[in-house]
Amino acid sequence: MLADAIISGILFGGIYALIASGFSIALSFTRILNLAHGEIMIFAAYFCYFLFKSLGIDPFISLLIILPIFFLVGFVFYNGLSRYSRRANLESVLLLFIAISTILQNLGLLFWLSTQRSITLSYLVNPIIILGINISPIYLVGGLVGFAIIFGLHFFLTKTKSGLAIRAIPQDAELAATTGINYFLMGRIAFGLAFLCAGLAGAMVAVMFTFNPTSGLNSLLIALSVVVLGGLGSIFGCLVGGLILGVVGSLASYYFGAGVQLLIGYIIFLIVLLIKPKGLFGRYVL
Amino acid sequence: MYSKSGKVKGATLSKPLIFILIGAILVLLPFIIPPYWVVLLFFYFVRLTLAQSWNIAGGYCNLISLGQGAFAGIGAYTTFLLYFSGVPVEGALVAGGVIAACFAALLSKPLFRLKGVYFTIGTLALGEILKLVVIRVPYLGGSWGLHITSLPPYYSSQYLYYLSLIFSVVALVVIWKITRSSIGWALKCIRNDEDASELVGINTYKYKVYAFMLQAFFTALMGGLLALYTLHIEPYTIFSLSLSIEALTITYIGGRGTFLGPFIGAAIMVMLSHYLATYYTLHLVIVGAILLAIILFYPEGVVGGLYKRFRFKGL
Repeated sequence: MLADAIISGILFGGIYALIASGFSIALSFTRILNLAHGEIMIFAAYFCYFLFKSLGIDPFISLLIILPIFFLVGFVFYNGLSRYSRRANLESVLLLFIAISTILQNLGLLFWLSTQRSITLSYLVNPIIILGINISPIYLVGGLVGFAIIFGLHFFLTKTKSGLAIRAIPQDAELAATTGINYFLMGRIAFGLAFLCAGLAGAMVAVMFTFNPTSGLNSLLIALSVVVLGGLGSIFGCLVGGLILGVVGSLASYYFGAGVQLLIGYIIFLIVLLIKPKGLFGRYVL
Repeated sequence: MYSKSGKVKGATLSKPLIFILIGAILVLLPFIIPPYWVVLLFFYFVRLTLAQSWNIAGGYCNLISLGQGAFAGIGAYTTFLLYFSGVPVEGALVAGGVIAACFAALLSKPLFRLKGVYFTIGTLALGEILKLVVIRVPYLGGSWGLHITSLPPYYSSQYLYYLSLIFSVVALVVIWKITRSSIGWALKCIRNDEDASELVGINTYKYKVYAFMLQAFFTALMGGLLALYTLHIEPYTIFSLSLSIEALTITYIGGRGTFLGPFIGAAIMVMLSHYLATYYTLHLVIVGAILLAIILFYPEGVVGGLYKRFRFKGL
């Protein structure tokens, strides 16, 4: 059904926005292209998986453990990173992340092999039918979490003092410093937030999809497409990019058969790159 | 006896003689060393050429590409399809290279709109897109890939060795000549400052397309050779990032933007994969760790660091 496809496209839009949110924050506010985003997500997914399998902790409760840990990791990691990036150029930082993602991915393969894993939650199996439209409850939860995180981030970045300070950094770090903003601390908070979002997205991926250590690249490319579509520096751009990717992909699979969503997504990504490199709502040039 | 330049004549071998000697040794080597070492040398040449062709765009110029998998995949698929339709292997390999170079030329228009780091993002998606296309095309074997069942009668590890030797020598000579030519200087200018080189009248777009096409051509050749070695192409592995990561790790170990660097980097990588052959994933962890260490502590690489130390500005 067409309505089914549209609804699931919108939900997938929320999920894509969730996957892209951490990547977008890191790139917009600390100018760091986190190519290890996918691997960090997959590590969160495994964390969630083992908490569920060995300790029986529900994935949604385990978020209380995962999110603070990931925030702290990002917070601490930014310390070393900013010290390094001060004396290195952008390309070296990029290659640093390529190296990190290679190491993480293959460590994952070493520990957990390439077995596909997934978490099945018994209370999220039966489809919900509203007005004759089939909605998968897992994707409903994932999409709603995505919308919630986008609105939460938007509130944080536009309404709170530290959010405004974080947004001031990419515009002019030195000028921001003269007004009393500790831009190093703000960078750390932003990067911690980016990791937190990656952790949240990873845990949701663990609940929704099957995953193995090599599926990080897929998530990274989704995040890239969403950010390029929506533009840098705009959290709502992230949501719009995700929705475009989700709805178009879902309609494409409705008309052309399953499995073409991502292909269509990447083609849109290349076209946008060609026509409007700034993205639809971008504040900065890519 | 002294020549005009003051060098002792006859005490050193003349340049062409050295090359002929090295060539003779390389040609005769498969008859002397055990077959396993022939295979290792084959891998050495393939990796060397992969890294050197990455170096021409990523080292001399500033086009850090992660799309090597896409080019290698094009080369491998073209080689296999042409081989199936009766074209000799050598011709099929070259055709794969030409198609990949055309593909690179087509893509350079959208990709070169992106500068620096964002160019890298663009190339990252190339392999993934091609993979998604290929696994949906039954003619290309879908997600099973293609494999050669009827081998050519002359197929052996020696044959592959000579094939890789010839193509590597051609690639190295071409790249050497180009780095010495005005194109090489233009590429180095673009690496140092793209806007400034445009200002002094270098057509940066043109030279970047040259470098990108050259890289695509030789990467596709090597992709075809690798596929001929395994006799099997699987879309999930050939289009993955691992070839790009290997190429850039080799180049960074040796020294980015130096001609000699990849020779040393490739030797280190081949030795590593030889000693860690039974632990494939551990091998990749170590490759990543080496890349990390080089970037953090020794960004010039082995050869680049030595050049800097002895203030040598050649090669």
